[in-house]
Amino acid sequence: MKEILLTLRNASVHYGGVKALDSVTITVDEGEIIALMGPNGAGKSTALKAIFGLAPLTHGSVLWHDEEIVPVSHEMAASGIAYVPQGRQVFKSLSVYENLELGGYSLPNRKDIKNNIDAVLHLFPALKEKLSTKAGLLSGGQQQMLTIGRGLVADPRVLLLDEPSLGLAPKVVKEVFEKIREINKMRNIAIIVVEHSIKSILGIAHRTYVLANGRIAAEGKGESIEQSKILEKIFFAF
Amino acid sequence: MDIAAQLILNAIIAGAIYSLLALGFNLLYSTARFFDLGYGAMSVAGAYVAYTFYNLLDLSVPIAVLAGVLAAGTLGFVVEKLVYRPLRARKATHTVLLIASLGVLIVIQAVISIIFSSQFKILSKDVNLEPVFNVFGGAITQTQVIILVAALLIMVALALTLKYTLFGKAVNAIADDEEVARVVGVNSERVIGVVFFVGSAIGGAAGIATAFDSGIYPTIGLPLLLNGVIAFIVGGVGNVYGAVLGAFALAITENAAAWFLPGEWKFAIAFLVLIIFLIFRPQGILPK
Amino acid sequence: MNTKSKAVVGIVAVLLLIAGWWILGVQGTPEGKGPIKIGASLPLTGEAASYGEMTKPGIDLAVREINDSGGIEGRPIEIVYEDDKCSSEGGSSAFNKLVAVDKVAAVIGPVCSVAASAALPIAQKSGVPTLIIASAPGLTKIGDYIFRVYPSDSLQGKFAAEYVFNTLGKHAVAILYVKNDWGEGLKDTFNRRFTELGGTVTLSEGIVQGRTDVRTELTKIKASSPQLIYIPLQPDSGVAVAKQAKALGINAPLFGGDFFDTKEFTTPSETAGILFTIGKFNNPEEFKARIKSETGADSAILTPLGYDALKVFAYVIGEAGIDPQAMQRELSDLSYTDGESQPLISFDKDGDLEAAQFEVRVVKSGKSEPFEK
Repeated sequence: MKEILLTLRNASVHYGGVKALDSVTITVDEGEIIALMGPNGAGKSTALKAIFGLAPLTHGSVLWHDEEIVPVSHEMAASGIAYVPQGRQVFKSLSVYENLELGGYSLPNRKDIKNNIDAVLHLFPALKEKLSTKAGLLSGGQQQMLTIGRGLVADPRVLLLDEPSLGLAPKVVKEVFEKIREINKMRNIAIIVVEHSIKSILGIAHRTYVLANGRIAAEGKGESIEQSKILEKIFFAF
Repeated sequence: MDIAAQLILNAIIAGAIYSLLALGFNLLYSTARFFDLGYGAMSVAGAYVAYTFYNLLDLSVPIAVLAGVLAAGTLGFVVEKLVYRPLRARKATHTVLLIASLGVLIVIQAVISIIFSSQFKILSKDVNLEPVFNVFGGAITQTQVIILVAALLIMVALALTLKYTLFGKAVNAIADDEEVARVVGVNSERVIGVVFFVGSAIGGAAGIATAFDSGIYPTIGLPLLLNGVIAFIVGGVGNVYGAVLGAFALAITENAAAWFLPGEWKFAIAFLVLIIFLIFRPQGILPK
Repeated sequence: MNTKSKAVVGIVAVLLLIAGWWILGVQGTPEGKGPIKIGASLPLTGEAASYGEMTKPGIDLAVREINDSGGIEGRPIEIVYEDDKCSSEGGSSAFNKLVAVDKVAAVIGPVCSVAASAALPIAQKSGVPTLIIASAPGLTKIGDYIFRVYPSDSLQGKFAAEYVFNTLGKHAVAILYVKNDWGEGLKDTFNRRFTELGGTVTLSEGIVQGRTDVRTELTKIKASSPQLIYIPLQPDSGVAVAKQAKALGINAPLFGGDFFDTKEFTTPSETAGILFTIGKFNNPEEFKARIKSETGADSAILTPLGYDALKVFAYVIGEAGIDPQAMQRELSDLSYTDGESQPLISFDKDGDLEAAQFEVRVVKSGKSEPFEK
């Protein structure tokens, strides 16, 4: 029986008059890949932000290892949760190496930073020749690898990925998702992926949640979601 | 060419002090992202604390300088915590923060005027006994040499800290993108607090140097601040090396021009340099 | 606050304003009864504060002595002090208040020429007799109601030039002066007399009042190789020059004007040995003792002047009453021999002191003393 690592329980987030999230419950087990899907504005990114402490919860709670926590964004990495925000947000004026170094900022033992960076470079060898290049000069795909790699340097138990394929060419998207699967298999890291691209994510996710209007419209394993045709219903309703 | 040598020496001293001012300001601006006019008051406060310890309490120079620098740093830290942080937490606009910092500058200078009177003061005793060195026909005092060396040490220490320590990297991260810095685990509030301490302490050092070299009065905060800001912009916003370059460029231009024009033009020239750069090369000498 | 409360507050405010205006306005010097008001515009704050502080005890002692012996024809004197901050804004607001609001019969001061040039036209226009201590040459020419109990700088500059050329034997001099009425007056008169005597002015640089970074000007002056530097400057700039000249390795002696006899200038150690000119007055021991016991202050150069100024006014009012024109006539013909500051106080056709004397003093041990070559 796999341990439940992370739970977003009955979470609601109200921005002004808008209910960005309404009583949403999401669980993540050890080693799972979870997909969060849905149309724009469904609340997918908000769910990740709520877990990470970047969106204030109006109701509900976050549970880490079954204990309720108050997520504070700059403390999450130390707890073992890494967040890769949308839009390939690298530290543009810092080098690739410095970006990775900062990924390890919260590690208790500084010596681990170098080892973890080496492991990440194994995973993303394309970054090896670019170590001293300013991150702002990399291509879109390379920047995405860098942000994911940066998250991994912290050696997290859970990785939150927000729309990793956004703005990338299809070939690159394929590469990115292969890497996601590799990370999950080799290092047993649980990953929550918010994704638009249905085909790519359904292929690798263990479980999927479908959100619409801030609520959970459906959840289940990949095949059952496809079969229920709920996705067409939701997407075409818009 | 005695005069040329003297003017160059004058420019070097001025450049060293401007560098400190620009570096401190650079630290504050790149992390907190607004023009902190209160920075000028830190220079004045540091100088007057040093004055109190040295001239009023008759303690030694090193103790007075240390006291002044720590006082300036602490004041900057406290102001950030009590005034700027609450405003930034409420997502105040740049204008609001600018006005708040103006208030800080005015209030602190007013308090200093009340305590110390608006009288002009020079921090030094027994100037007759101070050694003056001859450098290619120009004169430089021992105090000025000390100021130069100290400024150089501070610059080097700052550059090394920013490049090689974890704290320095955190500062760079916040300067690049504060939110992402928080995501990777940097407690930006705490780091910014320390940055304000260090930046204001450096500003205080510049104020103390000015006090020993040419004297101070309570409202000198604004001219000092302006010199630092102009050097900072001319050198390249956000660039540490640029700040130093900008400072010396400004000092050399001012002193060269003052040879031909009346001394009152010094400020006008500084602003002229600023305007020229803003029009033709707004990114400064060394862009980020 | 609702509209009704606002209205109430508004009405109360207006009533208070009217009451205040009435109280202030009606306090003029009425004919025949009540105290006689005399105003004094002094630099009580700012660079020249010590000059203001030393004049006040003299005035206070004179007021006390007169009132203790029954006042003038039974009317006591009430002195109204205003701080003119040694600035032109300060001078004009001080005089505006004294003349228009307090409606004084006469004014003593200002001490600073900067304040005086802005203030005196106000006195002249309203016909208020004024005894000034400020020294810039043109001030008495502002009008016939302006008289001076301190020597004019047209004489001080001349005296300084003669002293530097003849007594000190320096024939090549640079000038660093403050750009205001006082500094420019001294620069011009010094320059004229010095070149008349055959000396050369190697360089003449002016700085704005309050400037404390004079390194560039001093560098230029050093390059012109003067034998002495004449520095008619105010105390702050003077101290800065003293320090920065040494730092630049300038060995030529410094020689200043009468703004240097203040503790702001004499206390810092870097000014020791600097010479300056100042009006020469008596400061009798007996007077000093009286000042000390009555006011607790130490009598300095301007103290007997303040005392004499008030006593002169008291005398004039006693003879001519408080009618301005009568007072003016009495002052023009004045031949006052009871002064503490000097044996005879009388004025020439411009209103300047006829008997004007200067002396050279040197800064020593935080104070000044007469200089003997």
